[in-house]
Amino acid sequence: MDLELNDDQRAVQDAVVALLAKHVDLETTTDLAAAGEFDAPLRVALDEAGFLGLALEEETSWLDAVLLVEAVARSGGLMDIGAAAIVAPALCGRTVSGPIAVLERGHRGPARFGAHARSVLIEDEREVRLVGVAPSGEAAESNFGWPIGQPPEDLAGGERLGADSVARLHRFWRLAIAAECVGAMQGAFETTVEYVKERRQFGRAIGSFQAIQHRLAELSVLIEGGRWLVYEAAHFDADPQRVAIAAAHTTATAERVFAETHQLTGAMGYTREHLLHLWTMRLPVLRLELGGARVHRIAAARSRWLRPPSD
Amino acid sequence: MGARRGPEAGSDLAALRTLAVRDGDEYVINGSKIWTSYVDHADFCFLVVRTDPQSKGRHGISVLLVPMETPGIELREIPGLLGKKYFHEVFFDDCRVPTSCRLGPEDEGWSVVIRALAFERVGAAHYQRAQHTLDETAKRAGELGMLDDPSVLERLGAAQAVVDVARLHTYKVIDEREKDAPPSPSTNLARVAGTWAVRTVAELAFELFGYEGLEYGSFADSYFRLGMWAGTASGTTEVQLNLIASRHLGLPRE
Repeated sequence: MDLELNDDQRAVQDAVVALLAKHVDLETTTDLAAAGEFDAPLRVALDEAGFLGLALEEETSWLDAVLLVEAVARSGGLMDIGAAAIVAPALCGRTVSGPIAVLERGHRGPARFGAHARSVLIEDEREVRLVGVAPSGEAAESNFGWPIGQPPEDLAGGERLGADSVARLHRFWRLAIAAECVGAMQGAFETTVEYVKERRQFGRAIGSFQAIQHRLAELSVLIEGGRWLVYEAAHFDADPQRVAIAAAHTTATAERVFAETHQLTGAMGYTREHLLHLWTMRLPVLRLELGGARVHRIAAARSRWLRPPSD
Repeated sequence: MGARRGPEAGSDLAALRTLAVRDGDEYVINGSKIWTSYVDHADFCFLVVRTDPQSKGRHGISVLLVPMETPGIELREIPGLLGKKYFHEVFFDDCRVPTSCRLGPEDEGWSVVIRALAFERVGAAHYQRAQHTLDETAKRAGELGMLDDPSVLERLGAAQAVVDVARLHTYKVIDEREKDAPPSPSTNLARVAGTWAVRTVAELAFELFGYEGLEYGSFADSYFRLGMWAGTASGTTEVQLNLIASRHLGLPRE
């Protein structure tokens, strides 16, 4: 296994980063997040450039899609990138109109993109369905950094995605959650590292205190470890054990990154005048989906030491 | 066989004071070193000495490869918690070795030390032993009917993630080695991750194996002793974190 990106992967990554530099403006994103909206022009730009279907091309793999999702999350770009570039292509074999809401079995309450979705992937007892819907556009008031809203009540019918679609949903949703976590954690982490280099107290940069250095160094071990887990899981086609491990580790780390980056940026980090919230306030939502770290860990253990779970 | 420190040294290796004074084609070594594992089995030991008595810090240090049969070497076992015949102190009393025992240039041994430590810090595949222990622990838990308990599965899954993180950080270092890249902070990341893996698995194995782990030399006991020591051997976790902060994150020193 080669741990460096190859030339093609690097070219894709460079192209994505260039597109994001052109389209993602963090002040605009702050306004969108506060209003419970998403970055529609960014979504159109990525779609038109063909990035959302990246994983489906012949010469690419899930690793390319993961690199895309990570880059968008790290940039602060506010859209349904995990569902659009990983979950929907994996289940439908094509890109679908978005934004996309993904609802696990028995989902209740508001969801990411619930009121904005044009497509809903909904998990039933035995199968996942793709349902086209008209968005209400009525976002719930929420402090969390995504457009949060109630999904449409009528989600009957739609396209049935096959007998293995539930297992497939779990695998690729975990991959998407983990990739989004890694990108958002990296964004929060880099912002915090810059902050502690600049911020001075007691006559010195607070980043020169060992108490702070060690905490950031530990975060870097955790976040970079998470990145390798996600890359490896993608490389092995979202192997069930590997994606469960990647999701378990990244969602658990997300909790710590949230607490530590806010602690180290002080009062400033709790304002919307500092950018930290763009990344941190998205993390708790990623920690809820598919049951969070507890359920991912149990799934990983079952997959390694017991027979594969029936779902 | 990592014997290398004078008793005054420790994590701050550059502070060592064991002397090797040049006398013609020989060095005359005086001083001692401590925490030397397995030295009772060793044919040679690496020894970091000060060859320039006037020097301080990183300068004036050389590295010697000393045959253990050389006259003037005395061993003392230090009774300890990590295992029988584990720690030793080695004394050098006018111990003479030929200058051909020196590794690298005289007085410029610091670069040799840094390179060797970079390899040592990841050399042992901690994650693989952690993985083996975790698999055995899960097997044992299965035999005891504990895998029906979701809280046990949750802890096993969490431990597996910690081990996989250590494995991949180690792969990164090995990948860099294979490509002949110079030692990088990846090594320090891998060491920290490896220590977490050993500790996490040691704790879990101890709990799940129960009372039989209390017996010296039992499966859980052996790993428990390894876990106790993981954050200290060949560079404490705190030293690794310092290096990550300065070299990897570019945080200011002052």
